[in-house]
Amino acid sequence: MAKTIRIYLASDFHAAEKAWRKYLNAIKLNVYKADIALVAGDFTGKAIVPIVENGGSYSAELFGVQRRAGSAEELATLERDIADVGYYSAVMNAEETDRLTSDPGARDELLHRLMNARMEEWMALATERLGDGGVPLYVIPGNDDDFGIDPIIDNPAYFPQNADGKVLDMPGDLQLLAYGWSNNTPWDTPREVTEDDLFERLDALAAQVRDPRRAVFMIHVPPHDSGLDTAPILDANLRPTISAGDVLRGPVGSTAVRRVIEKYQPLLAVHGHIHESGGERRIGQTLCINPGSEANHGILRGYLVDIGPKGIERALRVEG
Amino acid sequence: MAEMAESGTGKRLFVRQSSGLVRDVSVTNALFFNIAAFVGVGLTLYPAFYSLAFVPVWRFGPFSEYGWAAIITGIFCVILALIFASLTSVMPRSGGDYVFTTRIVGPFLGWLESWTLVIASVAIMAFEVPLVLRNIQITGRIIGIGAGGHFFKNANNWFTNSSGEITGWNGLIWSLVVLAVILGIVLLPTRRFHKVVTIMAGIGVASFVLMFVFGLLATHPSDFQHNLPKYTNGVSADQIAKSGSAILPGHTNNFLSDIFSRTVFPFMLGIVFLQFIGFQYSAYISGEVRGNVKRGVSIALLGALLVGVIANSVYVDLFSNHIGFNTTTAWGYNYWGGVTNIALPLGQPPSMPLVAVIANKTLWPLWALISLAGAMFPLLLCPVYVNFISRMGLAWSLDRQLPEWFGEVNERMAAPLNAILATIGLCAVFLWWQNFAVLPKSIAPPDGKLNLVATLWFSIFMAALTWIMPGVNAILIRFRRPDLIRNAPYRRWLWLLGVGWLVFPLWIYWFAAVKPIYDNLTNSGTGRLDYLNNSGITGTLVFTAAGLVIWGIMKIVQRSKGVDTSMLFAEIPPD
Repeated sequence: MAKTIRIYLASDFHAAEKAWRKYLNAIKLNVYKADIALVAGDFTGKAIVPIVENGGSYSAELFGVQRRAGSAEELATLERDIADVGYYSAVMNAEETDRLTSDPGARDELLHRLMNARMEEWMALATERLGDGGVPLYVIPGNDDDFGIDPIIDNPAYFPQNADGKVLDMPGDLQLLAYGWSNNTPWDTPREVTEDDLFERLDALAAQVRDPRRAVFMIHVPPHDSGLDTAPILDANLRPTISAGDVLRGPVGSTAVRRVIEKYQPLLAVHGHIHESGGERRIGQTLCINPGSEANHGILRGYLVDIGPKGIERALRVEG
Repeated sequence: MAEMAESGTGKRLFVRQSSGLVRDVSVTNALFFNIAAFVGVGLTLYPAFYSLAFVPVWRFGPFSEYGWAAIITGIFCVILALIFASLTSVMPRSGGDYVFTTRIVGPFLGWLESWTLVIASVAIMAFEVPLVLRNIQITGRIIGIGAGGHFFKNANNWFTNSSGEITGWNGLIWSLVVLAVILGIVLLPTRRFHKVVTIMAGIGVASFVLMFVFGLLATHPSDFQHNLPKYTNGVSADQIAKSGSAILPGHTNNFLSDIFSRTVFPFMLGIVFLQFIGFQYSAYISGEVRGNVKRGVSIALLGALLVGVIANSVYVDLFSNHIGFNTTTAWGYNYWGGVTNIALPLGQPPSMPLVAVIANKTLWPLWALISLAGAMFPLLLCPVYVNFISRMGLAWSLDRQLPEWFGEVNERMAAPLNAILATIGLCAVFLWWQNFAVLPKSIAPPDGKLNLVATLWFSIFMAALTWIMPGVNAILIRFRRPDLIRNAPYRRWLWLLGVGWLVFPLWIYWFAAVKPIYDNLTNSGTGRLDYLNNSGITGTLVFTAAGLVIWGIMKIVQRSKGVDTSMLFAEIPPD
């Protein structure tokens, strides 16, 4: 009889250095006694903080707070602080900052370079920390991730396995269906398709699954109106709608993902995408989980799911 | 793909176009959110709170003891605001201090703090629900005074039993009707819920302004004194004022010694604590405040505090002083049961629009509108509280502090229905205790009913950890979670802010709760304090014990299921 398998899952690191390092250590140090590790997408960050050099001293603004560094050590601390909250940093002089301000192409080029550099570092770190362990790490890019990171996570020299668009066998007689694309968002992110297209893609993948009751569907975007997809409702300027002093929220998940889950009823569905809507719901017989994300605050959110021969034995939200 | 964004101070940040970055709640919105948490019966009934602590009420300068308590509480709450600004900057999350305590101290204290807060909030709801009925009656009385008509003149008989009281089956049934309306609002779809809340809050805020302006400019104390006996069977304003002599020196002989009184002022501060509770509920919105979070949250919290201080001092004191401070205070004391030698004037608490219509009945439509807003505000507070409590229930459930089914989100309602129903159910239990003499008389004197004073005092006691733990968290975070505090605003001073803040709630809870109990146990306490503490402390002990039992049972259940809850908040080193 197969033993109980513990899956440790997290999502939406968005370039937050501290949270990613915690995630790797949680596996390496066997904190949660996990057998399988999953990351449900969105590795890359959202902004660059220019560190302006001026006569040997450095200054930057982080969340409205003016930060200064006078030595190499202080500069390293500043860079790490910026990385910990999920931003990229680049040291430049005032003229270069001005040039970037007026040159969108140069900013894009810099952003791509920084994204890829951090992704290389992260995959190398994962390989260093987990490479000689027995816990497989399956990852997918999310809708926010540029295609430039795909060759990096596909690199066989790195330990994490890119499961995007595949159905893979996992320990415990389980299968993993993984997909990182989302339905359309207001942000025009790199990996988006229409609901119909998304359903067709997912349906074709699900047809390859041996037994949905022994399968984990790791799909970046959560199912529509599941409570795992509740996000601020945006106005025409993409700002949250406020009413009575509170932020109006509504479902923004994918109807295609919901249809696929309802149709195939996998054992477990793992999602991410909506950071503030972490939790667990049942859709039919499927336990759907979005661990949520507070990675940009240095907090590692995750879930432990124990799967035995008869199905899911328990699920537990964890934070580190 | 990347665009340049201006942050709060105009410095550069290169943001991805496709970033989904929605951290864009303005400071104004955050401020309004915090102010909304102050909503309650205060709009029209603040004068009744002067006497609620059953302790001597004095005045100094332009303000009452209650007003001074609001000002001093506000000053100390600045420290609390700075602590929240700091902690929410690094941990912005729904759940407020529950999140801070679970991460900084541990899940047990986090559970206990949030459990006691939830029970305190339910008690506050149970306090507000009967006052909705009261304010509807008062609105009827105002119309009756202004426009006449048998139906409105006899508004005091609405919702009452044969003895003319809102109690027994009549009290319970009508309270349950209010509770059903609250449930109906809570279960509205999100957009409609917010629309309802917005309209009600808008009317309420406008009413605040109207009451203040017209209450001072369109009424005269001489008219009030002249007209009042017509509605009180000849009892004059002076006679009402004299009836409160037990608590009404009306002035202070030594302001400083009264401020540092260890037998009177802490009780008044406790009442003000109740009025200020709420601005910490809104800490989660900090995660979406744009620009400098520290500055944004600080402005929102401090702005809300300012409004709270003004509402609880300038707003109520100027009007009460204008109409007659001693009369309104004694009238309130009568309402809470402190006066027995004259009947309750008009059979109602000293509602500001009711007082105003006596002084100037030509403006009765205005006073009726304000009074109606006074009925809507406590009604509005309850769905907001239920919403907050259900979110807490969801967080407990996800943290396995309670069974999963408790926080399970209902597919049709898209809300944790079980948590909502449990909250409504517990509130109904409180209402049952308020309407029927089912409690031991030793706990709920004199007749075994939980009266409003007892309900409120219980909620104040029950919220002790909510006020104390932020200070503890501020002190401990540097030792317990240095990883989180590394970039927190005021991180060097946080321990000092924690110590500075703790002085205040510990002073209040020591001298208004612990010491009176000790004095009672050693037979040196007063009967009045016996009463408050019998009701409040007993209830607090019972519900705290219930929280401990639930915690213990859940530990056993989780262990039997093989769930290792020690993993929940395990610290993981990043390097």
